[in-house]
Amino acid sequence: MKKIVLYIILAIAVAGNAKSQEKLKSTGIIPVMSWGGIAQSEVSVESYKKLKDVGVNIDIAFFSGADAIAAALDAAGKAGVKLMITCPELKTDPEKTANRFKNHPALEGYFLSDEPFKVQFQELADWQKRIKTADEKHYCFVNLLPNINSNQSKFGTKDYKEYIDTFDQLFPAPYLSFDFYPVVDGGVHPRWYENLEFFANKYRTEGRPFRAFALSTSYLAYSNDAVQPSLNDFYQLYDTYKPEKTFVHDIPTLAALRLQIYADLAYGAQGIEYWSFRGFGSPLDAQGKRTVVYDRLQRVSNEIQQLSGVFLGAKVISVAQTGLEIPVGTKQLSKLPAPVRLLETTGEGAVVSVLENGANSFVVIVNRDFKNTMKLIISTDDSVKKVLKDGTLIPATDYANATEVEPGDVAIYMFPTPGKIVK
Amino acid sequence: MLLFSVLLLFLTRVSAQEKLPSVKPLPIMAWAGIPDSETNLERFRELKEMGINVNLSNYPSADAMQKALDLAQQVGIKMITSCPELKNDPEKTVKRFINHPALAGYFLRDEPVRKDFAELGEWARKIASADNKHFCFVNLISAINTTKTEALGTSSYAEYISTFSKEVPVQLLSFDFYPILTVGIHESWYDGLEVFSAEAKKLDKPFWAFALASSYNSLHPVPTLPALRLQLYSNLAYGAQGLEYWAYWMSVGLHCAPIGLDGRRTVVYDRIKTVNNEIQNLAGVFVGAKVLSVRHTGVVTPKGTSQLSSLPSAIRVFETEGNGAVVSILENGPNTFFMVVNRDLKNNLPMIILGDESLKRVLKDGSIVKASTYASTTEIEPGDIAIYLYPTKK
Repeated sequence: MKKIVLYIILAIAVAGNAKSQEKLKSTGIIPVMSWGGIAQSEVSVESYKKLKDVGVNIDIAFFSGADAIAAALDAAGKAGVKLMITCPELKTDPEKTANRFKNHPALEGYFLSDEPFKVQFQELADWQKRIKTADEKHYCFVNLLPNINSNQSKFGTKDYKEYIDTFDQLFPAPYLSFDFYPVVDGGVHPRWYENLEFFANKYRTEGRPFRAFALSTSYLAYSNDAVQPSLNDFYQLYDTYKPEKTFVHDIPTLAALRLQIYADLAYGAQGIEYWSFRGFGSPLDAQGKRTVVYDRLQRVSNEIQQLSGVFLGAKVISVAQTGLEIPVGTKQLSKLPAPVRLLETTGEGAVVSVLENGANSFVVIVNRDFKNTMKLIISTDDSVKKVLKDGTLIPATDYANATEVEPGDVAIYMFPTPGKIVK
Repeated sequence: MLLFSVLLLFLTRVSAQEKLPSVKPLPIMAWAGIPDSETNLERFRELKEMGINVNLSNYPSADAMQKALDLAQQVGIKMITSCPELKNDPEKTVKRFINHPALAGYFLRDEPVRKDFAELGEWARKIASADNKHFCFVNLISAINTTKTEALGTSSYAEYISTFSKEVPVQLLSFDFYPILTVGIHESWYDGLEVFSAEAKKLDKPFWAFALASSYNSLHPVPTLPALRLQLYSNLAYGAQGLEYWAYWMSVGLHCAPIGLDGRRTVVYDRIKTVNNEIQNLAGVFVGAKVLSVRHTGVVTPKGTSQLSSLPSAIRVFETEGNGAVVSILENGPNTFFMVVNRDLKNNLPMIILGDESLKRVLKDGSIVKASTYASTTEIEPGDIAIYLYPTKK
């Protein structure tokens, strides 16, 4: 009797597959960079494989000497990870250091600074020039401040725009980068989308691509930006926790990670950065073991690479928001691309972005609520396809008009770019 | 040099990720599958794409059934099916279909009571006399109350199952219980799973169990991902060797089945597809597995279940917080699996697990990683699982 059941199961196994489904064409691998993923004391092929497995393809190596960098490049290369390097020799003798590493296949670029003020820009530009004299192939990387509060004087410029524009003029780089950790105190920071609007606009109008962050750890931040606690002090800080003075960035959930990453990408980000990999609530614990955040990050990293054909190389045509109340500095969705006849959401609302990527254009809808599912009603013409999470394309009309988007998650629809021929 | 590089890449990949052994897929069946009026290739492909490999549908005639079987064969789906001729002239009908490659079995009846067993037995024997290659399929009533079973015609739920098995020659058992309610989880669900899996074990027959794929009244919400996971993974933790969904295609009275009344996919279609993919990646855990034990953690464990009181030697420390978990130990050839299901539909389950060097963690894509590469404190998402592997003691 059991044999008959086994026969059925075997028959299921050998039965032919249906015609393969239409898939989104990949446009490459989305750059995913970790900040300090692997410490100098832990450099090994195995360690870098941990990063590779979580979906990271670039790590920033902040090491104490050029020899340590050399060892790290060898190990990272074997694991399929590239390194953005920095060490004291890169500062004291940039030409010699760049000459030493410029032909290493695992070299991504040179890390120069994090969150500089305007007074540092010229020095950074001069440093970059010296590196470039030895290595024209690789780029130098600086991460810029976010526009997180109303105190604009801290940038050393009259406002944030001047801060970014001044840096961009002085420091030629393939892309801009800024860090904003928006999921805080159980909600979303009110100025996050405004900051994304700024970079999306710069990308759209000046062709300057940008990369943006997701917070992959937990930390407490004082409202006074000058006093940032170290991650190791997290527990101790609970003893002196003052809610009126402290922001809590909780351990990242899957939904919080999705919201940050998909909103970044919807605004046109051409790469994602994770900070940090160590400390309470990080992907790796103090012993270098994987935590639950590692698994969550791995899931989202895998998801976005299957959707690289949507985001990588895409031009931002428009970004708007739905909902009764929309975030500061954003605009209400008022116009839809012709193939989308109706788009409505319930609840907090969504980021609705239109991206053009060659012959295909995409409507990217991100649920701004990272706690509740969002109802979405979308009606399209026959040219629109729904892009599933694994990159499968299905005619949108095969789906009911009413659907739901999970917390922080995304729904993507594809249609032919007007005036472009689909090959 | 290029060849060497390619080879190196291949070798690196092979050695990088240990994977669960590839085994036969787990049978996953849709009830109320494609209706007769929609019997076409595209619809069968759509069913297959959701991760269904067995379709249960009744047809108005043997010719309609033939058409469906032919289409099912083209897309690689098996059928448990029926038509009026199967009842009126079982031997002749069976002879017509016995050699059809898409035929898995014959559907006889849903939710019979004790008084129906004799007739079903006679029917099944007639079919078996003409076809001993395919099975007859009957789905049993759920165990809403395992002791008050007057309506079933037996003195207990266990007796209902054993009597059925004695009188109706079927090769596998099946029962439907839809435990996810708007107000929480049905208090008798795990009790029913306990009884059903124990009876199936006694009878040496595999069993299949259900997840609700649609809402059929205000008591049952539209299935969410955690709700689907909880039902399916709990069934598998109790040793189910096949999974069933009711209902695939919307009918009047249902709400949000995977395919709506207008024939279009709903959000539930995508959710079920996601979970089905997950489960097939883990088929090496479940297909052919023997249940060694099923226990529960939590301050209060569900009715009819037992508290976890001992651990396999490969696991030194195991604790959960919150509402607790189903903890099942499944033996499958050289590997034994320690499976933890978060019983909570809304909250993560914090868990501490510390094993010896032999303990490995099975990831959702079937990758196998040393458990010691993970922190001992972790969390399981609502309704979801964590699975660990260690060598079977021989």
